[in-house]
Amino acid sequence: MFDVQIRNKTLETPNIVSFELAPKNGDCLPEFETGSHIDMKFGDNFTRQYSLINHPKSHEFYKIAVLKDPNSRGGSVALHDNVGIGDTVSISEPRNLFPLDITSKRVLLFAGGIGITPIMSMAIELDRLGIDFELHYHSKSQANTAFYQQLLSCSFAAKVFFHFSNKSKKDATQIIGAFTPGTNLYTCGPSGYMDYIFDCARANSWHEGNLHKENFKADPLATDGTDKPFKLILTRSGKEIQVESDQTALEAIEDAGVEIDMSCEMGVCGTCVTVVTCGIPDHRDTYFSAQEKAQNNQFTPCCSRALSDSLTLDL
Amino acid sequence: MTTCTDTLAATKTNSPFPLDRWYLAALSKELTDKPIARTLLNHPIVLYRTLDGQVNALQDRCCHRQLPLSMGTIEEGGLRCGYHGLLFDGQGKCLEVPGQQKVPRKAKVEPYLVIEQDDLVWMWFGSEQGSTPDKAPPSYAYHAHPDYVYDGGMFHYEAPYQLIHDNLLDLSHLGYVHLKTIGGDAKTHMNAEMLVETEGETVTVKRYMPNSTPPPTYIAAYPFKGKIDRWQEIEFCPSHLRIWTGGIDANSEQVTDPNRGGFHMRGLHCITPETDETSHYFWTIATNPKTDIENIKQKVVEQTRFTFNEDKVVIEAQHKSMQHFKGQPMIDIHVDTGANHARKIIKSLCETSS
Repeated sequence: MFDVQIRNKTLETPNIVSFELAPKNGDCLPEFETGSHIDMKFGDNFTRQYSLINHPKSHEFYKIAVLKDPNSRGGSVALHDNVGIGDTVSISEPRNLFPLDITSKRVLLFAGGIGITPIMSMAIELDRLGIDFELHYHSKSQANTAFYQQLLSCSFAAKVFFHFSNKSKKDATQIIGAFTPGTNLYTCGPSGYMDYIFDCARANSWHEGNLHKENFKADPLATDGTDKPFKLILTRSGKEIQVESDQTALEAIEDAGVEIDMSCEMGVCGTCVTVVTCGIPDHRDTYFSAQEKAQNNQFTPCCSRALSDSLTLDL
Repeated sequence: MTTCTDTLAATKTNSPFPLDRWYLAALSKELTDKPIARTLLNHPIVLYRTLDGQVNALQDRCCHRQLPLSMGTIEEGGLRCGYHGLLFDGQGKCLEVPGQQKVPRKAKVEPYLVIEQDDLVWMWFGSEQGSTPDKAPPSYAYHAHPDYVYDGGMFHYEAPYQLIHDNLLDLSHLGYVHLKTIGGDAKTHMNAEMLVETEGETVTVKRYMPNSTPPPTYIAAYPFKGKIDRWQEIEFCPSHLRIWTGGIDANSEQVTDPNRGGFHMRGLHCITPETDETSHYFWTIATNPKTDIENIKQKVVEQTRFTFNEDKVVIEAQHKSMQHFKGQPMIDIHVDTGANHARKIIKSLCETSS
């Protein structure tokens, strides 16, 4: 964690505030990949995650946006009400649990409310790379749509579609359409919204591996002690396996009838090491070095899990 | 019951020992409060008696870093490895890894099936891993027979098991090797009437020496009047031999009467291969004194131990010589009949055990 100063605070909508964060010591900020987020520590020991919004001066300051949620545990309220220009907060280095596949032939983006922050970053990047895309932005009304003016006047405005729920709603199934290989779908927003987008895609027979979403959680280490379920996509055996909270990836793989070597079952020996081609492992072993873990291209299924919703394995 | 495919049949190696049978692993009295390390049929094994008296046997190797488990300690739950304390039950399952909650599923060692009866610990060796016995272990009534008292011991031989079979199937050598104990006059022994019968896996050799001089052991144990009619009845099975020897006063009873009296020595000889070239020889000797029982038992047991020591010297020297002169022909004589039948049986069993 390192200290930053609030350089700017803008009320984007009645409920959404954006912050610009500049380094206190004048150094350059770490570069980040599109889709990344930071942990931010502020106020009375609040720690929250915020997606970084791409903009041309990202090495000078980071830009985030925060939705005020009176029903939350108080973090967003504290930020809106108590943190202002000139204040110091501390942030982590950027982490990316929502990477954009830049080899995509075409990308469909779906943002629900405050979910626009990583989605808009993706749109900016895709536009820069010249990859075909559409951005569908669902919000309550025009007045509640953050960055509305910016999106209306940007270079990719023709690819942005606003959907206000106080107007008639176009069925997302029709928007998504049939699956074509090389197309990826990214969505961010409330869980219910993302589930809805995914269901619409599945109804169109989209492959699970081409659907991506990012959940915002208050604390990356679940404080209630349970592990979240995740999916495994096995490229060689062509299987997709669900790993439940109360089982290990290894157990799920074995239950699915796939052969895998194992021994210590606790991340010490390395016998079960498996290549990861997509997704972010949640490394819980003691076998790999920190550098090896950071490469995220292999993991030990006996004890490690996933930070992303799924992992694609060479199995 | 071979796991080889037909194309490999021509090149498969025979088992060095007959399998799918029980071999003696220990005398009950050997297993007290410490584990015993013993290699049997080329398997390093740990034998131990649990706190409530049961005999367990496991591969003598901890699955963690392969220290012999025989260097561990016997506890309530089982056998605890002497290196990092992994605890194993009688089936070889790891019950506890000190310092961690998880016991890996693969943390286990191979168990060996043992049955203890008649003060003997029999172990099953099958040709396929995990095979279950298709017969009960050999029973031996003379360790608990009202007319007999017994004791025994164990020798380690630097010689392969079949040389011991040869020695026990031919008791004509007594006149030359065991003069101090059960020998007697050599001529009587070498000229004794001998009957050899083979049926299935069993070879029976019977020899009778009527009107012969009683040997020192016999005289010490029984009030013979003068000359005696001696007998030797040898029953060979691939993993053990029962040998009944003894004598009655000459011309008193029929020497072939199964209920004959006189002086008896009933020996149990369990030859369990250690490796291809070395063996464990477990022996017990039971005798039937009517008076001065404990004293006579001690004498007979001591004399027997002495006798077997004499055999050990001869057999180990023989083996060393045979290794040196490998390939030299060996000329058989009349006394080799029983031994040759036994070797044929062993050879055939080793082929089918592969």
